[in-house]
Amino acid sequence: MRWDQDPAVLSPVGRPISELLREGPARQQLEGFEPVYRDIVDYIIRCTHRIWEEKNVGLCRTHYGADCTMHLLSGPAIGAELVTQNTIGSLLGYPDRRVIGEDVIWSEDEPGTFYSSHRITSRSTHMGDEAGVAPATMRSAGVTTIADCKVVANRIVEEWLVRDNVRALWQVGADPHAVAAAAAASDLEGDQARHGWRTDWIARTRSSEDVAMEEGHPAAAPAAMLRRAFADDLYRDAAGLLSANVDLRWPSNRRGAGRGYWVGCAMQLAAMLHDRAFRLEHVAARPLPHGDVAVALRWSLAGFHRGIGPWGPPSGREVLLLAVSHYRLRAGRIAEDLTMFDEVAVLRQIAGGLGA
Amino acid sequence: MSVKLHLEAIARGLRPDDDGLLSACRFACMGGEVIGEESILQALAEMPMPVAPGATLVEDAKLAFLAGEGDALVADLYDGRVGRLWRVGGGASPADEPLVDVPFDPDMHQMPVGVFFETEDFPGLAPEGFAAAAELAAALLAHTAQGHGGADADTASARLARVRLYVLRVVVAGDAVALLAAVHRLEGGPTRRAGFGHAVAFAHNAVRRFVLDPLPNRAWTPRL
Repeated sequence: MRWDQDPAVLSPVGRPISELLREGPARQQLEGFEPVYRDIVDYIIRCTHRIWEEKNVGLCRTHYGADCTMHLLSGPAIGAELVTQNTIGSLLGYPDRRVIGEDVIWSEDEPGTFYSSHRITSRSTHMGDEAGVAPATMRSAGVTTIADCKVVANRIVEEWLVRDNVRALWQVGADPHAVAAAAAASDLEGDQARHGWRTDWIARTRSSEDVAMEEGHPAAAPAAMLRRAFADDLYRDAAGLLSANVDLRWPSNRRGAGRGYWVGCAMQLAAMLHDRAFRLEHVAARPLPHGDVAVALRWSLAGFHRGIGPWGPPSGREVLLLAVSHYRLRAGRIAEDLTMFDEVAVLRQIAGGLGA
Repeated sequence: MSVKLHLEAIARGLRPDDDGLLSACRFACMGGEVIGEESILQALAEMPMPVAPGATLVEDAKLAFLAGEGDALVADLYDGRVGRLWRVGGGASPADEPLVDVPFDPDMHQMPVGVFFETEDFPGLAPEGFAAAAELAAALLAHTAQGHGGADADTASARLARVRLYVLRVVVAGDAVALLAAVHRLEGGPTRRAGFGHAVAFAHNAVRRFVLDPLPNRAWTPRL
């Protein structure tokens, strides 16, 4: 299916929540979905609202496959029951959580199989104790998450989740290094075969080809940019695909502007990860207001932690990074880059956890 | 309800009518950033932006600039509603958090560019509008390079080793021009402070006005 199919299905960008949640006739054919959902964007925004804000958490049982896999860099979570219980636990910690949907960048990869990349920034108050993190602090909190979901007939059958977890810990006064070290110590106990998912993922990153995309897809240029940086180390060439004034937000409050700043962000990773491999895992794109185009890229990076950088002294361990980048393209150039990955899970690997 | 009324309400921390502030709006102020109507209005209610009667408003269909007494609001618009917001030159960070600093070279060349502003990035801007905005940006660069917007009284006039402007938004409406830029400053001296902030420049005929965030006064931390 073409990236810009179904033009009546609009991005949530620029639309008030009252309009986004207004019920009405269908705008897209959705086989097997609840009739309340008007299109795939509505499905994502509305079911998130129903589950998280209205607290109808049991809807996870009808919106996730019974054996769905949620891929996180801290390890997979399998099954709708686990998703339900984890959601209840999260809401205990942050009960007034607002899940503000910034964008839903989607594709229909084959008829009836949808793929959505949902960027959410939450706002909440840390009212409940969190195991392994911090007792309730009553601090205001809010971080960005990108949830990539494969959706078939009203159910998420596979999900990839990346969250700015260092920022989340900072906001409640927790130390990311201490939290990661405690988790790593726990990882070292018991059957180490449970961490095989990470080894398999690294092998895929090192040996598999990039996902294919249709000719003329808007994701082609950003994908080439990432490959040129992380695979070829040609940073200025890579950054040539960015606008001169590109507006950048990367995890852990990295915020800046311009091609040089983007090169700095990329080189922070590249300097730490030697014998690097990059793989593009998925792409999607959708039209935005004012003639802009939104692009979502999910990518992985594997490398040996042999260089100094934000993650501390080199550990020598092989590290896996899962990232999702959302770009706003204007006149073919990247005007905005929001890239997200979980650096707590990286620190956990560096501390010897997750089988690293 | 007009964009001006929306912005005047928001500047006081009040909810505008007609969904005038989008629920997914992102708000940047003094190096901090929050998202969502509730957080934005709370931040502005705690530290409102004074707006004088007859304050300067420069707007088009996609963008609005409102001048306060010593600061400014800039808003991305979607059908007259505010979808992204910056407060420049005043207020306080709505989220004072640690961060990872990024070592970087803004120029990647021995011939530096003071202002990053390219026509390709502003496809809707007519050539004469681009020229007027480029002239205003050059004046803003000169103003910033003179040391305005230092971190405190001691450094306000300190020599800056490097100033770079990244023009993010421009409106040209009749004789009026307004622009928003990200500003990166590197102080002079043997041990230097550096950081990003924002700046707004207004021009109407021969009168120019600049609003600038101070240079962040914090330790450099390129690590978690």
